[in-house]
Amino acid sequence: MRLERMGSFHQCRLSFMRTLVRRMKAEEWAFERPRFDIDDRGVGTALYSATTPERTYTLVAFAHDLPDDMRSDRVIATAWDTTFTLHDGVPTDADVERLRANVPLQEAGRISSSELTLARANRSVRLWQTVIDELAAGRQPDVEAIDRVGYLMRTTAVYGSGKFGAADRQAIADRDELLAPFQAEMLTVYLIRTFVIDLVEHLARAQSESAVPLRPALRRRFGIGNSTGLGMAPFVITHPRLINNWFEAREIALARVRSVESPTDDEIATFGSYLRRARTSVDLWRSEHPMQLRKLAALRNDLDLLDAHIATAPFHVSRPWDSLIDWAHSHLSPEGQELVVSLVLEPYGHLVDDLVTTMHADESMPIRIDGSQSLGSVRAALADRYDWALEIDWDAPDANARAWYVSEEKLEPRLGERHDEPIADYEQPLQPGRDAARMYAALDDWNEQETLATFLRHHPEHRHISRRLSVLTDAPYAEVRDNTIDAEMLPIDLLRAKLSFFGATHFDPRSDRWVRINMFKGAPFPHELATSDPDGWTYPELVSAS
Amino acid sequence: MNTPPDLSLGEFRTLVGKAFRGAGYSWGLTEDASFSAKRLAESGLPAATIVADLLTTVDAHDLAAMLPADLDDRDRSVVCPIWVGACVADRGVDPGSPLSVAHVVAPQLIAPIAATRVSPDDDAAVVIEWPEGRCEANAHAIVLSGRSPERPCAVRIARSDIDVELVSRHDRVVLEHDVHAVLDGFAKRTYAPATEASRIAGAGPS
Repeated sequence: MRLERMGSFHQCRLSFMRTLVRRMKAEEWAFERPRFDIDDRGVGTALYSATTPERTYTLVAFAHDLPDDMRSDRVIATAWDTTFTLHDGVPTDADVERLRANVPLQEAGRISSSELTLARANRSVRLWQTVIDELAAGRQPDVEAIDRVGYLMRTTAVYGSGKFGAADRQAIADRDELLAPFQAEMLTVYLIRTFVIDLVEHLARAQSESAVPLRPALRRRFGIGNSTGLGMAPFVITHPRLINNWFEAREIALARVRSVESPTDDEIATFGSYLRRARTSVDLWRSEHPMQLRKLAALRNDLDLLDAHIATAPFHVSRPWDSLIDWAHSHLSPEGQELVVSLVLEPYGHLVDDLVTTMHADESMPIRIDGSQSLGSVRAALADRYDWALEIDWDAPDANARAWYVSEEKLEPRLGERHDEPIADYEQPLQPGRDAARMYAALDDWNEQETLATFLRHHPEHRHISRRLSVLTDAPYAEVRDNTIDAEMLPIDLLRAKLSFFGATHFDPRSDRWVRINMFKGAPFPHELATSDPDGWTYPELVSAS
Repeated sequence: MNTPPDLSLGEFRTLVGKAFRGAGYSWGLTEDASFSAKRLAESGLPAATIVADLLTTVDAHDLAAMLPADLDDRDRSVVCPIWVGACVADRGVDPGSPLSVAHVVAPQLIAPIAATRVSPDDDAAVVIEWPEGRCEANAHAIVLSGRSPERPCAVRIARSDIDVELVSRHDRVVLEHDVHAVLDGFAKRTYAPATEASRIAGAGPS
C-alpha cells in the first residue's frame, strides 16, 4: 500500500464506528444516564451506561471550568474542558471518587484494570458559546455555522489497550463486542457525543429558563471532533499484522463486490443513493490547508465525472462494479478512486460485513523467524517484498532525510531532520524500507547456503527486519510500500489511513503532521438507534433543519 | 517521579522494551526481550527484578561481548539470555539433543523466547536448567522452580514431552521503587533531549 493512496482513504462499511453502531442496534443495547451532577458553570460529574446482552460499560465524565488560555490540543496540554474514562461495568461511588482523583490528570494519573479507555475533549471555541447563547435565547443555532465546524467538542486523545493503567487489550479481546479493533475507544467517543449535547443544553437552561433543546435534525449534525498528531502515525508501522488484516479485509470486500455478476435494481439504487449522500458529505467538508483544498477540488470534479459516467447506465454489463473500479482508476484522482471503493461496498453488507471479524490480530506473541531458511531464499524474499525499497538510493540526503524519535519532553513520537538535528542515535524502527535495503546489502558477504539463524547470530541488528519479512509471508498488506523517512513524506497520510478505518470523516489537515477530523457526525443518538438506519448516517442526506 | 502502583502488562512490556533498547540492544532482540519479560510477569514471576539485574550486568560489561557468534562459544565471561533465547527460537531444539550454553545470566528469560518454537497444539515444552533451578515453558505457560543463579552459569536447554499449566495468570505488574528506577533509567536513554526547535520541527506548529 502506497502512502498517497493511504492518504486518500475514506470510511467504509468495515470502519470501526460503523461496526459499533450496527452492533448496538442489532443487539438492542440499552443506554442510561444514571448521573448528571453538573452545575450551572458546567462543572461536575456524569455517568452514561451502555448495556449489551452480556455486560454494562459506563462512561465516567468529568466536566471542568477551564480558562480559555489553558485550552490546547497539543499533547503537552495539562488541563482540558472535559475528561473521561470508560469503566468496565457499573462504577461504585468509590470508583467514581478514585477516578475523579486521576482521570482529570490524564497522563499524570492512573486508571485501573476496571477501565478500558482514558480520554479528554476541549470545547470548540468557534461554536460552543454561540450554540449555548442561541438555545438560551430560544432559537436554534445557525445550520451553516454548525456545518462549518461540525462539532461542539473535539477529543485530543482517546487512549486504550493498557495505557496509563487501563485493562490490556488481551484481557478483553475475547468479548464479542470488543473483538473488532478499537471498539472500546469508539464506544467512548459515541457516549462522549451524547454527553456533550446534554451538557450544552444544560448550560443553555442554566443561562435562561426559556432555553430550548436542539432540534433532532440539528443534533445529528454534531459529531465529535478529534485532533490527531504524530503520536498516531507509528502505529501503522508498528502493528504490521493488524494493519494487514484491516487492509486485507477491505481488499477482500472489494474483490467480493467486483465479482458480483449482475447487481439487482435495489443494489444499483442503493449505490446511487449513497453517491448522492457522498456529494452532500463532500460539500460539508471544510479545510483551509492548500494540499487538502487541491484534493477536495479534484474530488468534486471526480464526483461530476462519476455522475456523468453513471448517467451512461454502466450497470448493464457483466460484473459492472469491476468495470466501474477500473474506470475510476483511469479517470479519477486517488481521492475519487478511494471514494468509489467505499461506495461500491455500501449495497453489499450481506457480502462484506462479516469481514469485520477478521480485522483483529493477536499481537501478544512475537512474530517467529524461521531460522532454517537459506540466505538465498531470504535474499530472494527481500528482493520480492521490498523491491520498491531496493530501488531507492538510501545514501541520497533526501531519501534518508528524516528520523522518527521519541522526545524526552512528552514521550511522544516526533519526526526530525536527520541532517540538522542530533536525533539519529534515538531513531525508532519506523523505516522498514531502509532497514530491508541494509539487510539485503549485508547479505552480499554471506554464502547463500547459510541459514538465517546463523546470519542473525552474527548480525542481531537485522533481526527486526527479518521479523517483518516473516510477517509478509502471509500478510501481503503488512508494510507501507513507501519511504517513511523521505524528505517529502507526509505523516498525515499515515494518520488518514488509520482514521479512515476508525470511520472518521472530513479530514482537515492543519499541517503535514496533524489533522482534525469528525467522528460520528450524523450518527443516531442512543434513543434513536432502534428506529434508525445503522449505516446511512455516514453519508448524510441534507436534512431540513426547520 | 512516583512509582506507578501497578502497570498493565502492556505498559510493562513497553517499559521493558525501552529499557533493553536503552541498554544498547538491537530492535529485534528488544522485541524478544520485552515479550519474554511480559510472559514471565503474567506467569507471576519477578520479571522486573530479573530484567533490572540483567541490564545492570549489561551496563557493567560490553553488550557486544555478551553476544557470542555461536552457542558453544565458551570464551565469554557473560552471555546474554535474550540472545540465547533468540538463537534457540530461530534454530529450534531437537528432541534428544539438548543444548548447553556456558556463562549465561538470568536464564529464566530464555524460556519464553525459546518456547515460541513449541506449537500451541503440542504437548511439549522447553526446559531450561541451571544448577540452582529450572524453568519449563510452552506456548501458554511458564513454571519456575528453584532459585535464580547468582552468577553466570551453565545452562542446559532441552525439548521435553511434558505439559506445563499455569496456576494463575497475572494481569498487573507491581514494581518496587528501586526496580522501577533502574528500568526507567535505561528507558530514558532512548529519549532525545527536548528543545523548542525540535518540538516545533518534530510535532508541527500549533
